[in-house]
Amino acid sequence: MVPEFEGHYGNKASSLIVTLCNLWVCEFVIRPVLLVVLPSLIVFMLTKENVGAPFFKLLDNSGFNNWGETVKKSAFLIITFAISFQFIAKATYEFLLKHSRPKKEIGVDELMWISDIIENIVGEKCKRMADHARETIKEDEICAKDTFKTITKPEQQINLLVVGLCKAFEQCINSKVKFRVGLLKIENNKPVEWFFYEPANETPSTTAKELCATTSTVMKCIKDRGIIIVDDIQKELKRPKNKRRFIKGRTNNNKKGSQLCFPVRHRATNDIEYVVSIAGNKKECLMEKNSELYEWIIRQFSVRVCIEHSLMIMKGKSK
Amino acid sequence: MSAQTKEVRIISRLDSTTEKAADRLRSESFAKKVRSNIKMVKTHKVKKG
Repeated sequence: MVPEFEGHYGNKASSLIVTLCNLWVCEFVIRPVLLVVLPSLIVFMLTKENVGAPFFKLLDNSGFNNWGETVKKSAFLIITFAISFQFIAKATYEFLLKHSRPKKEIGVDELMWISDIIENIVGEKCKRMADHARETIKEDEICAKDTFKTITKPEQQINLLVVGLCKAFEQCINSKVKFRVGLLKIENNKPVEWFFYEPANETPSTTAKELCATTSTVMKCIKDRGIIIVDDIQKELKRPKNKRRFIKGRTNNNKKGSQLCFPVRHRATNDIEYVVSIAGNKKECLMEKNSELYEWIIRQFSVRVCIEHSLMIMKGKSK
Repeated sequence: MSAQTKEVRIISRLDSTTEKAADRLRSESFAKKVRSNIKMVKTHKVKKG
């Protein structure tokens, strides 16, 4: 299931009312009574002299000069009321329905972005394979070892997956935020090197060695073996050291932003081989409450990173 | 970029072929293609069942 951004209390209250309205009791009993029987009863009351008399008297006595008399004589007003009642009830329901949806949900646009990005990345591999196949057709026999070494380029795919993930975050989370995505190589549960970084013309502000500090987001992520999100890095730096999940490193004093780290576990070893590090340049551009959504997006890419990592292991040992 | 940040080592750099592929992903023409695909998907209703 595709996760959604969490909505505010108004969304939740509207959602609850809409859910109640869609119950069969409401749909087949309460709604017809409210929309048909109630206005009919009121029209009946107003049109019958003896039944509506107390109501008209009440209107006249409440300071509305001659309103009771006007309503009694005007069939137009009574019919207008009956029709407007239906419209108002329908409009209220539509308003609640609109507000029952979360502030933002993953929709067709976002899914299409992810799908097209992955298609583009796989397309590169497809092109490479096709080129090699074209050459192979001319040959009578080919060397399996050489072919394997030529057609597999796991590093290229991993790099493109990082570029793609950065693009996906820009398009699916916030297009006004500048995201930086890095892939850290992990050995013995510690970051050893930055494998790749996007934007490629920038470099990470903190070295892998510095990120080995126990209070870093990366180390917390490795320790918890799960996603860690720091909504506001400046706020995090003010927290007591034992609760902190971010290190200043070489980050500027006034630098605003959010930080996310996600562990990529490899099935062959069940160890964390990489950590995906995503930073946004605005505070609260990444929110802990949306972790399910971020995880879902990253998984679309990390599963492919794992495939390429397997290839890297095999390629490294093939002689 | 400060001299300090230049020290951070990245072990994998894009080769020319990968660089071209990455640039395609970052390009406006790719974004246009995705937008047109979104439009196409939204204007085609598929009957279920």
